[in-house]
Amino acid sequence: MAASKFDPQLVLRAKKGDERSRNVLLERLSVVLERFFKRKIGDQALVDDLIQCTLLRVHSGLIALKHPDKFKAFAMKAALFELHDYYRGRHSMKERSFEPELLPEKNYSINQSSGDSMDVEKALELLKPRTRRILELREHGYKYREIADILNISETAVKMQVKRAFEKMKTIFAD
Amino acid sequence: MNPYHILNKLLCEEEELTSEERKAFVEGLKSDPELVRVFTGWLQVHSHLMERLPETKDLILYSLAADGHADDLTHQEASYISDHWKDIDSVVESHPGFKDLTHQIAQDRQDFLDCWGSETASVPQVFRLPAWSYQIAAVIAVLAVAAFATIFLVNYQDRSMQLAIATPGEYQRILLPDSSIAHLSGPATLEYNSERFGRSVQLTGQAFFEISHRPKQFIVRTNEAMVQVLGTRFGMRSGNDMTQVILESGRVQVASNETPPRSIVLAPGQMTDVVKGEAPTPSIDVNIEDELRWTGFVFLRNTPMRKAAVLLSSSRNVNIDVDPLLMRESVTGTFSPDIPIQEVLDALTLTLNAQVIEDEDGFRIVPLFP
Repeated sequence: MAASKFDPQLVLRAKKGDERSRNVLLERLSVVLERFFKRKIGDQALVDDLIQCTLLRVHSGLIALKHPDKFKAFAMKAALFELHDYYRGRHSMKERSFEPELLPEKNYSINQSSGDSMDVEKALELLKPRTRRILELREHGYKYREIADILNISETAVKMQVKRAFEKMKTIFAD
Repeated sequence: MNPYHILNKLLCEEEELTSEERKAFVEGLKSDPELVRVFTGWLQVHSHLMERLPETKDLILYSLAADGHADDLTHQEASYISDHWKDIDSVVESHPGFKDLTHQIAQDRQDFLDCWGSETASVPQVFRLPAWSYQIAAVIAVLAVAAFATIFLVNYQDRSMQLAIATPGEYQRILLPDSSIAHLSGPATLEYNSERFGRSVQLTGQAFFEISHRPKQFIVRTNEAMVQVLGTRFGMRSGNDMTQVILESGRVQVASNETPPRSIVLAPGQMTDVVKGEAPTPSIDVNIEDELRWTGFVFLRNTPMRKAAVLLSSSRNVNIDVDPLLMRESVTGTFSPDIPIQEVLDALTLTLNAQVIEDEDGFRIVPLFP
């Protein structure tokens, strides 16, 4: 006879505050997480950080888990939240770091009014679909190499599309 | 420093600007209204996209539900996403990149479950048995473990060892687990362990490597030599008891397989040979445009367009004519064999202020404004 490594009884004991069960549960989960984040990110130092953040999220959310047999989905979501938060956090657009230096120039401040947004949307529609996809994936924080893998094209092609988008935007904003 | 070059780096490279570059760019912004207008327009695009990009949590819950996995959500999450479905759905459907993102999240879910499945094999529970049964059990266990270990190791090896083979003349792009890329130019074989990658591969034949920068060294072994790098691009040819290494960028250490190994360090544009049982030959400077032509890559380093067109024509087997006005213009770039020729030419014309015209004879590169 055999028992699952994430037996609902173990999860239930952990949820009720049994420290040993909780340690066993998190230790077993960390092995899954290590494999998952290594596959996604690779870099061991980053993987270790993501494992710790996910375990912390699971640890603090466990008490609210109503169905111990749903632990797998619970842990999966925690890992996905951490992974995608990491993507967004690591790549705050470098261009934006210049905004504070631009903002004092009143004439050139970035206007978020709906009229300007409409213009930007129209400008985006003028881009080729793949170029637009790249800009939108970039916004989520994916690196060019990751975007290349998602779209099954080369990293150079991705960079070129970004450059072309910029060239296109130059002409659009010149009008 | 030209602020437009800096802007180009800002867009296309992922490393940070140096403080000098940043300063020069800010100066450019102060003095060049055209640069400010273009740059702020670009920022507007990103602000617009960022404003529309749903929150991470919303996107993940939506993606799971849209991919048919609503049962992964708690009652509370399902209720929340149901309330916001219309808004998120309309944003995702009107942004193709966000749609790609939801597919990627569904793939991430599957990857997690795969990892879960391979790590959550059942664990035995403890039983109390009569004392004599332990002796029988021990004998059975020893036999079973031996049989299992044999089968497991054979299967595990089969499952985790990856062997990529490129036949003569064939090109293959292999994405390695650490995001490094091996471009095989057949005949070539590349062997590595996908489960316990450890940044180490075994090569026979010809390949060009683009190694992702990581703290841990990447190692390429051949029968004759071992190359150690952190993050760089280089070509290797192994066969007939000799390995040749040509470095395009970065830095590599090339060592012989003899004991004790003897090694040298290559700088960009340098080459060494390692004959079996001997030390690497002293490095020599080479022209990588010519020496790495076997990779199928086209390397252009301030190359006149006249020569660039010849290199590209012979590499891609297409006819490329260059307008006499552009013949002496120089171009720089590295193009792997998997990049379509149209994209390569588009990239070059961007820097030349030129355009590509395709007709039945091939391609013509002409000035944008003659």
